[in-house]
Amino acid sequence: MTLLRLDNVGKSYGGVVALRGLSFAIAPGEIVGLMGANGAGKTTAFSLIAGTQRPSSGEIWFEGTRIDGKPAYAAARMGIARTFQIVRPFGGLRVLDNLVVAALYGHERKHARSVAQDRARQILDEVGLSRDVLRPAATLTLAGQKRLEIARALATGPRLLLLDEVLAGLTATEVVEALEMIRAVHGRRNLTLIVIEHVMRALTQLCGRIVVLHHGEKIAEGSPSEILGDQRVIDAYLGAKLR
Amino acid sequence: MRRRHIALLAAPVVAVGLCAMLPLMLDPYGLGIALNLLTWIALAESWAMFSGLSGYISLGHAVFYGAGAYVTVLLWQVVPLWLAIPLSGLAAGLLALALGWPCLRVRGPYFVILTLGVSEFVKYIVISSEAALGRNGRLLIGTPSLAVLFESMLAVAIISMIVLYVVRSSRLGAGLLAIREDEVAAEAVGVNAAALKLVTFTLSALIPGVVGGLMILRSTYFEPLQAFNPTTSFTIVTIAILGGSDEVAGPFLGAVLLVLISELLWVRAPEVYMIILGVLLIGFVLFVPEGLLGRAQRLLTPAKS
Amino acid sequence: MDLSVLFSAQLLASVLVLASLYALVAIGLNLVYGTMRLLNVAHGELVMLGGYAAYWAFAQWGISPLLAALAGMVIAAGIGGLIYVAVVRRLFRSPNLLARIESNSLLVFFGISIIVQNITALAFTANSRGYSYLDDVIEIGGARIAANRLATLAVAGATCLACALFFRYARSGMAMRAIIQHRDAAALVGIDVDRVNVQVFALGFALAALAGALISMSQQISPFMGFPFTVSGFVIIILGGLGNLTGSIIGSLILAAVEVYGVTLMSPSFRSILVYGVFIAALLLRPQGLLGRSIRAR
Repeated sequence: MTLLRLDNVGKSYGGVVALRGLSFAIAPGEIVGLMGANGAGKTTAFSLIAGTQRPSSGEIWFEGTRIDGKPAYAAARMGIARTFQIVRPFGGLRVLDNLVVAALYGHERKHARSVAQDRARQILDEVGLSRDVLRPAATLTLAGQKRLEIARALATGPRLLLLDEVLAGLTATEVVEALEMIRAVHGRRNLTLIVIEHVMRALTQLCGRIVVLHHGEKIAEGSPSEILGDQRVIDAYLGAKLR
Repeated sequence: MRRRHIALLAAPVVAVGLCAMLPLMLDPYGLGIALNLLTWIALAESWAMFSGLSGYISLGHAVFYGAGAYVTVLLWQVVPLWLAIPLSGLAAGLLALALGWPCLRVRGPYFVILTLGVSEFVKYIVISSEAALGRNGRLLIGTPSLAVLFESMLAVAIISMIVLYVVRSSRLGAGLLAIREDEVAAEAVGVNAAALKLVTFTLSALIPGVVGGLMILRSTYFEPLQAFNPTTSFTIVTIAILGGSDEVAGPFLGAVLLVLISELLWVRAPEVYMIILGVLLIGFVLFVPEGLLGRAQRLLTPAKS
Repeated sequence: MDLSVLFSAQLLASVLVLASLYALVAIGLNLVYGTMRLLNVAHGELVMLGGYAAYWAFAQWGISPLLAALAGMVIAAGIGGLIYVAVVRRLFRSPNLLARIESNSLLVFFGISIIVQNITALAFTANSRGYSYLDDVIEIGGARIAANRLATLAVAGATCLACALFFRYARSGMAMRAIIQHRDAAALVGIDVDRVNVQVFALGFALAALAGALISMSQQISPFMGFPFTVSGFVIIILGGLGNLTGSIIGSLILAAVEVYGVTLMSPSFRSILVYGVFIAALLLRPQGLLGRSIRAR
């Protein structure tokens, strides 16, 4: 049973080829990592799945429906949520209201504001932002805003969550806390994750499977230990064998 | 609990009742001022519903006012007034739908200058078509009394405030505020920005259309340069900036301030009035961007960290 | 309708004159947009002011508009610098205002244009004014053209050329181009962006005022004549591409041609409809022209 399937997906901008012939499938409940150097096409892949952009070629299937070319809001409504590499909070709104909007419009469309607010508070509790509920989102620290980004995506009630470098810029302790939170969030729900990360430790600890991109193409796919030992991956990205 | 509800409702109801009796208390001049105040309230509250909440500033809202006026004039004595006025509002709404469909695809600031251009464009089309019809202005004879117009406008202004309140606290309002903050992020959480913008834009045109129709009955003379005057758009925006465009009380405050200023200055020197408005607009954008209401709210709640 | 009329030297001359004026307006607008991403909707008012300056100098003291234009340019440059320092800079310096600088600057410029229009109307009344200068008609190559329009073409054309050289060889000019291409990088290599911004406003306003002075020789002026020039200016920078100064010249030619030929084919009363119609079409069909470089103010 496949949740998400990419079939020979390509994306070009004018003359630049960002992705070429990308194919992989994800089963429900998996945590899959997406790895590669900057410019390898990872965020582009996210944009195509989440509907922010449309592929130049290929097909994307989600839960048996073709979704390539569907706009971002449609993908969100179907159950695909994402975070942005550079956080995009609704700065002028309160932290709570950031999630309320997501709950009102997302996959699990709550129609009553009070229900949406309850859901929002619940999630904010989960990610550790319950003390900041009524603050304007712009006043949070970067770590706080990253949690908010994840919380907001969760508030849509997604089936598939795309996390784009949520650990970037965090201190070592913050990384550990974040990983715990992500694992807990995943464990508590019927949720599938795709994670883009550069922090190798996170990828290997979190993911059951990793897909490696290089210059827009998939060069390897497998379990963390397989990937770490893969010569192509080492040459392209790791530089040396990691222990 | 119920007693408190009744008490809370009593105050506005009494206030409205008092307003409704103004025609008995004021002379025609005073009533005219009150009518103007209601007009600006209705226009600014409707504008705020779209531009204030979504952040897409329309600098051409006069086009809906003018369209409403034009339709009322065209339907004059063709259709009874109680039908013509709502139809004018509807016509303005349809115009908004037609204009919004292409125009709302344009991003933020370009939408703003586009609205300026569209308003002028429609103005010149109406001028040309009137000229082609051989009409040099249209005169209406036998329009309703000032008191009737006043009561109608009172109802319209109240409706405009209720509508803004309802929209702002609704799911639609939440979506619009998200769009205002970050449209791309809003789309990512499931907000169909294009649809929300179009619906709200259309809604925000209905009341200006009705207001345009009522006011043309007041002035009894239709002339495209006046009906589609960009000054109307400018005044609406200035009111919203002065008073604050986020909540119902904002445009209300702004309108009151504006009418005060205009009464002190308009009769003597219309150009000076416009210059002062311009200075106020710039001053408020730079120094009091949240408007009088926002500033008052900030001053009254120092406890928030 | 005899279509061979379209190819007359007469119309061609009209197109060139109009294009040269539009080019002056567009370059100034393009500079402000290119360097600061601000849509100056008050730009047309500077054209109007230039026209009034020339009118007044001629009506009061009999000074030639061509000379008055120089004074007008200096005054306009001063106004431009002042507006930048007193108003625009505040928008950049306050984080709150910077976050929504596109809307805020639009409102501010809108306010400025209302103020300028009404000050002029107060000083000169709202009626249109005109004067005659260099009215005699000259014949060149089959086209009969008024001397003042010929002078317009000559002065405007020479100024555009001077601008081209300025942007190519002068330090300030190159700095402006650098900022247009990449604002942050320009600051990093040591360009004093703030100082260049002042110069941009000064130069842009001076060019607009020059256009106004030239126009006043052959056309009536009124306090509210400015906005159509702002609109035309935007059309040109959309068509020609942001920050692309050669593009502005080409865009000016295209727009002038559309206007002159359009009015000839239809009628003068449709001129406004044509101008605004093209504006709307340009914004709807080629918003990418301005959207290509988006800024996220955070």
